[in-house]
Amino acid sequence: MELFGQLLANAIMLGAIYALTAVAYTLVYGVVQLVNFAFGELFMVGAFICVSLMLPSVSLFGVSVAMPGLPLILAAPLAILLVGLIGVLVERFAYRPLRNAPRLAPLIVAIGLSVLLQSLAQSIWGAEELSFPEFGLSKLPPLVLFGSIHVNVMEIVVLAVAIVSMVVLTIFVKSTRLGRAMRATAEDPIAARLVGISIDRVIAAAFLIGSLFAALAGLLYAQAYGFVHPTMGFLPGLKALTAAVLGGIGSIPGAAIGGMLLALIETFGAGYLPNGSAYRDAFGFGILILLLMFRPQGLLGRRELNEAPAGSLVGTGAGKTPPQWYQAIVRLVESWLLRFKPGKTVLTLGVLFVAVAAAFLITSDYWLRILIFVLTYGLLASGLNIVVGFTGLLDLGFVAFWAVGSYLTSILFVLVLKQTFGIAPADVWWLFYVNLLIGGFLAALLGVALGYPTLKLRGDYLAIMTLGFGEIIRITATNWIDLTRGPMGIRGIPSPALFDFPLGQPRYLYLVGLALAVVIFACIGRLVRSYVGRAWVSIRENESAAEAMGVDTPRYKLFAYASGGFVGGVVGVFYAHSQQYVSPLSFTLFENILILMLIVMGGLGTLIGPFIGAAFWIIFLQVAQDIPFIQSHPELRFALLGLALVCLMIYLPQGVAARARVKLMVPR
Amino acid sequence: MTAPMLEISGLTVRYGPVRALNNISLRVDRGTIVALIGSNGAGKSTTLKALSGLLDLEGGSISFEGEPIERMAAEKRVARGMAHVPEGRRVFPRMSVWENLQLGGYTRPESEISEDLDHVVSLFPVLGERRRQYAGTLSGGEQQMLAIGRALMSRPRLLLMDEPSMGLAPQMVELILETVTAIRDEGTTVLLVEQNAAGAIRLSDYVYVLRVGEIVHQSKGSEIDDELLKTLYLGHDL
Repeated sequence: MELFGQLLANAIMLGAIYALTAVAYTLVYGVVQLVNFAFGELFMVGAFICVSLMLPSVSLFGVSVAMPGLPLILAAPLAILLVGLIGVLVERFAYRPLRNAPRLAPLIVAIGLSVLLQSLAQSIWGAEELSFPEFGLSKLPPLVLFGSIHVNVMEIVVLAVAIVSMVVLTIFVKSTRLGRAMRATAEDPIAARLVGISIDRVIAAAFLIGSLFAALAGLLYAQAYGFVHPTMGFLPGLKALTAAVLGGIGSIPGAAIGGMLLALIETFGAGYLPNGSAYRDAFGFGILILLLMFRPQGLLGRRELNEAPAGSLVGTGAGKTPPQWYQAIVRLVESWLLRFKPGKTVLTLGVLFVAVAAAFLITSDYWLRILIFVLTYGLLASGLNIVVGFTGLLDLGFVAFWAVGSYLTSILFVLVLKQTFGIAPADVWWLFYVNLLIGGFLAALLGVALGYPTLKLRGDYLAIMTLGFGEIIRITATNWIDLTRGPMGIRGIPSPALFDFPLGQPRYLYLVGLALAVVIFACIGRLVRSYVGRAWVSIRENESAAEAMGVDTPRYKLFAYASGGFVGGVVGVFYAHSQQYVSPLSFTLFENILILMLIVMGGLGTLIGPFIGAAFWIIFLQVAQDIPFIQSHPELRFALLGLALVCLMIYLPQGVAARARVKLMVPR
Repeated sequence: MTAPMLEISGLTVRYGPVRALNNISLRVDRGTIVALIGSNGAGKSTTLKALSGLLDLEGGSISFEGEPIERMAAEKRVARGMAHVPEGRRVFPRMSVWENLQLGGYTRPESEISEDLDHVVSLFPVLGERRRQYAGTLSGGEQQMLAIGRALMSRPRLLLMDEPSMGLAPQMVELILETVTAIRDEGTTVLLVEQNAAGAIRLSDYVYVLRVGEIVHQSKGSEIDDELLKTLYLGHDL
């Protein structure tokens, strides 16, 4: 009973914070049908600004800056307003240009913004956590209820603030002029314009209010747990999104109920289930997946929110006309690419020749290792490209396939053969090649298993569900210590070998990777030019039309997941043997986002795009290390990546290698 | 002499590669009903959307009471005195009739809204009876009345109406068309787009006929007989 009461008290406080953040998601989604992933980051920024304002001095970019040292009661509103302003600017410059673009474009921008804000915060405030300064109310002794339940005064304040702000918001939306305009815009933006509503202003207002709520939730969260950290917004942001979907996205009471429910499930699951606290974060995602499978509209939501974004992600409709200088650069790159157009075979062989020659001309192991990275990421991106670029399904759980391949071979070689049976890896050198296939098929199987429940879902909900799967698999890999060695990872994975010839040197590893790349590249190339590829592209361009034309969409979607998964699994096996070490840290959502960005950079739905994107990014990472300012703030590189993604979606949604888009051939 | 209520010259609109309106010029005098008729795809709705600011122009000018408005945002045109009853009515389905009407007066000072509400209810008593009902639950004719009432709430001097009789029962069509005359008699100028050519010609003071993006005829309604209408719709060169 004591435990129950204490858990309940904790859950209610946490639920209040989730609910506040969920309001941000729900409000913006209601008005513009956009999942602004960046609210998790605005949550974090709110907490950071608030703490900075409360301290006498704070170190920004490593430079100590004097701060006013305000009390919480002044710092909090100021921080909240500043974040509101950031939210409005974000809407103005990142989302407004994409207002009429296909829905995946703003979704990708949201992910880019998230990376941008998080990396920027890390550069500004540093990667260390800051502790939340003490203030008047936090120093009061906790109240004791029913003789055994300890409740801090601030926990009561949090609950009260959440209730009051949500009631105020409900009244605002229900009965003020602007609130009514918001609801009208949500129902029919064109009719709203025709009665004289400036929808630009209404949408800006929704972002403003959403950001205020996110910031409020962030600083309440920070004071409750006593610290601020650049990544602190990530999980609560995802949880709040879960809560919003749980309650029915678009509904304010739904956000409140969803937040509370999620916090209760999490807290009691962690408190009562065996080993529950390790899997705490998985509960929420599990609930989310079940919910999306059986009741995608949430508890109080409406069914039509699970709609397909009509129109192709890669269509020319997206984006706006870029500035002159920018167009000039694009034209230059394209004309350069076009020059190679005649004689495709010649070009392919030429590239292959250069790639093979590189293995013998480059003497530095360091650069060869970088090339191996380019190949690995290029291949991973090619796998994801099947799902996202060709079939148009935004998959945020792709890293799971990669993880499956890596863990399969690592567990087999190290934990089973070497440690259990004492078999030396050199005796079973051929197993590596077998594992490539087994890893691929296992991941393909997982692709079908994970793809099946998502078949009913479209657009944003699909992305959210795949994200849930990816996180569950990562959490499992981290916590199932008997199988995966947990966060320690598995060491001592042998390098590949061919008979007695070891292939562990970077040069040979690179050649193995290259061989793999050639095979996979050719397979994907054949696949997308076949009837399968045409079915995929028809789903990407217009799923409903594809269905109407007789394309068996569930089947081809599953096939896309399986093919993408297969590639991921194969690359995973190679990755484990080339790194000789795997750990759950390699398979985070961030990696998934990175891979997605590589495709967007290179060109969605192109064969060569993923490799171009990977080469760009990995070589940039190396080159940027020589710039002094970036040397001291390495996270800025990721901020640039986020920024590049946002700009690309706005100005060049087709990617750098757009002209290399696969032409679909109609059989004669 | 005062400027006409609306004067369009050289209006051109494109949808991607397709030119939907080609160099349209027309004029609407104060206190009149002007009808814009033509077959499907002639560009009638496109003209209204361009007038109310929902579409970007490729060329041409729009002058409203002598003032150029072609660059003005849609919502500002409402405040300036031009309201648009869109095709398919587009009421806000999950808001009450009353809220729909209040939104119609979005650009008006709050203090005058109740007076305007009374006026709309006197025109369409059924809207008063159903004020608390969701607009989505009204019948088609009632939704059309609501859409017209919502547009009137902004006290327009020019009302653009897009196919107000579409999909309605014959008695309801009569009622709506009578209302259009009543609105004109109260001093509001009306630019009416209709597929129901006969009805539109009967009640309007002046008629323009559109065919594939061009004006092929303009005259007083009384000068158009069935034979002429047929040729105008089908084209001379057929």
